[in-house]
Amino acid sequence: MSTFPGQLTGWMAPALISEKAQTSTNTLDSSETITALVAQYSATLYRVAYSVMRNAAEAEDAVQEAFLRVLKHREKLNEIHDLRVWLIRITWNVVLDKKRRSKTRPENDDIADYVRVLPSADRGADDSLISSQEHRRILMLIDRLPHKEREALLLSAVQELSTVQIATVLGTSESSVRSRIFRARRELSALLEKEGIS
Amino acid sequence: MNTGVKQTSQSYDRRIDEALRHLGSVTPAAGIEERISARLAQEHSRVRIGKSGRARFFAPRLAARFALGAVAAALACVAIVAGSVNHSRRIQPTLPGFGSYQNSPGVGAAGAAHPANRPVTPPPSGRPRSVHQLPGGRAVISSQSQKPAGVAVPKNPSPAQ
Repeated sequence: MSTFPGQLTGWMAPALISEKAQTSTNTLDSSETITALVAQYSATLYRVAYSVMRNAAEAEDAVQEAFLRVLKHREKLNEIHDLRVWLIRITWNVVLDKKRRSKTRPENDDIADYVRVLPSADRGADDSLISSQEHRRILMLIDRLPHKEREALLLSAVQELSTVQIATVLGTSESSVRSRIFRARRELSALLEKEGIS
Repeated sequence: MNTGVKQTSQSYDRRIDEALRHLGSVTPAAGIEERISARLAQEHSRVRIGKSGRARFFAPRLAARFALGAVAAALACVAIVAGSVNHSRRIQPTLPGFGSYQNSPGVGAAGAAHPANRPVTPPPSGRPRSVHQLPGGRAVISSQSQKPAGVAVPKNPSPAQ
């Protein structure tokens, strides 16, 4: 982990030799910026991706793809006001694209992930398994919500995001996000009741 | 009854909160930063190699195509000019009114010049045959002349005095 920043800064170095000085400086700057962004926001972006993909490998792949897009548009980095929200928005678009494309494929939820993320300190093995199944059923019900409500609810699950930031990512107002989350929770409760989960 | 409903609602809210909390607290597998950096490095080098490789592959072919096109265009121009010159040299220079009209094959256009075969002598009246005009300067239509039906001819062409 200690070699990571140096390792990442170095990946653009061969390109610097043959290019002009100004371009080289810009490239180096953007390389350093991307290095910092990867170190700082990888985990957050992973959580955003995971909330939709529900699969560790696909979520990580989405984060990598998001950073590839950042690399592609690295000349815009200096113009971005809030890099965190910008990155989350890119990741969000990536995961929605991936989800849309994978709709034709069968679901491949990673059961091991559900078990892995559950806190197991005060639970027995059986209790964890039941809880993970219940957890999975709730997530399946979330997927049945209308897409606007579902997106707001899933982003609200990412604890690092405020309502204002969720609104920016979704391109709507803060009050709209609040009402969407409220409606989502109400509909989810109704679905839980209908499903007989108590 | 109301208490029961409220408790159930709270239970659902608690479950939803718990599920969302679990969903939002996942942690990526260790070393995600390294894997991202490796992917970025790989992509960056692939793009660089791709760009330079494409340039190396396509530049000579592009130049060859351009040269071939230029040569073909030049040859076409030369052929057109040579054909045009050759065609104009084959036509015999002739004086107007002699020779070429008699020898021209096929049917000529209605508006084409039709010169007489021999010189035309002027008539003895001193005016061309095509001019039918009296010395007074006014044309006269005979009352016996054939007129198309429906055309009224006034008896006295001059206006009433």
